[in-house]
Amino acid sequence: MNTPIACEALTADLGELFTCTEQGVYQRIRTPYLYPDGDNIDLFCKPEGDVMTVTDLAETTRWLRMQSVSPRRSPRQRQLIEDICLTHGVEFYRGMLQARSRRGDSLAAVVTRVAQTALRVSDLWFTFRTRAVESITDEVADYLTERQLPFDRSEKLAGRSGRTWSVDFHVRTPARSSLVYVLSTGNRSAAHSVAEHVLAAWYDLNHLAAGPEALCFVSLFDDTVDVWAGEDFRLVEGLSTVTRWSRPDEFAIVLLEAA
Amino acid sequence: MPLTNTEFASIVEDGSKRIEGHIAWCEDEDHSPALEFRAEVLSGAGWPLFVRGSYNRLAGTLTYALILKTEGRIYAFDLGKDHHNPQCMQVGDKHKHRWCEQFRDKEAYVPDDIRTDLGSRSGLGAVLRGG
Repeated sequence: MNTPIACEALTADLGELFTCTEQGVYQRIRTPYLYPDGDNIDLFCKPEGDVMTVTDLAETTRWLRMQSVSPRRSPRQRQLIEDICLTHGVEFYRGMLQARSRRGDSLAAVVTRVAQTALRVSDLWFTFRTRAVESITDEVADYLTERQLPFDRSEKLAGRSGRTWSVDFHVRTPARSSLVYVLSTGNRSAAHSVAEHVLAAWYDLNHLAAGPEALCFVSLFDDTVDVWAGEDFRLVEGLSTVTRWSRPDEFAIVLLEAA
Repeated sequence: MPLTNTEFASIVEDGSKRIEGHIAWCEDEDHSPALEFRAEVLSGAGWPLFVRGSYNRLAGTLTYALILKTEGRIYAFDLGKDHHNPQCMQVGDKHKHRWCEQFRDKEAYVPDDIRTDLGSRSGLGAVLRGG
């Protein structure tokens, strides 16, 4: 099936909401479906022998990256994409969502499958941290899971003053156990207050840093946002090990190394 | 704390926004047909901004996006892809997204200061200036 005939068949089966134009060696299919920001979802088809390949040419993952603060997808987001592709029988290859329409297949059905996959993958936008669905602490939890470091979240611990502190992570590795506070803010004027809060917590909990099962105190700065001054790091480094989220491997080493 | 119209206007009006150093286009994490770059945007006020560019030669699409690290995309220029506004108007294959409290980044308009050939660099400059 050549591409002009394919487009006629498509329009006949799916209606005039789908329009075709030439895009190099591809036919671009403008669908009526939208990415979360309102941009139209375009698909592309190209005949290869008896097979018509329907693909988004990586436009969906490109759209996601243009929305994202993070330099790359998280393991959880990758898993979600794989799961979505599995549901719809679509291949994820070099960032492209694609499927084949073979002799006897309905091209309209294949286009619909790929379009729905693109829709669902683009909805990963709702899992981005800035959409207030996933916090930096959730990212850290994902990382600890990926590195197979057992942890408990938001453990409540009693300080010497009697105040109860909710520590972000209690991580237990074979060599040592650690308490981790994640310091994160988008506001430069709030940064110092955050550091002071963590300092107070470490001071009040320092009875846990003594004894045969002494806990290691780790202050993990979310330095993907440039809000921290040098004094914020110096404030907490006397009572904890300072690590940075921009260097997650160093964070993991601190958690793993023996006391 | 969500971005306000006032804060967005302050960012756009900040004429000190700039990129220093070179921009390098490179493959993305999937080795897809698209090339991309990321560059930190510096400013006197210290806004946590960066710009991302992406060009897909097979799809014929180009995007420059200004991203505020605490909010997400707040300004963008798209070429080669149509857009449907919340008011249900199609904007066309050349459009800019501009953030507002009501619609966030979902509303786009047709800019009058951009040449349409994909080799133009005027799109990136216009995104930084907020024009």
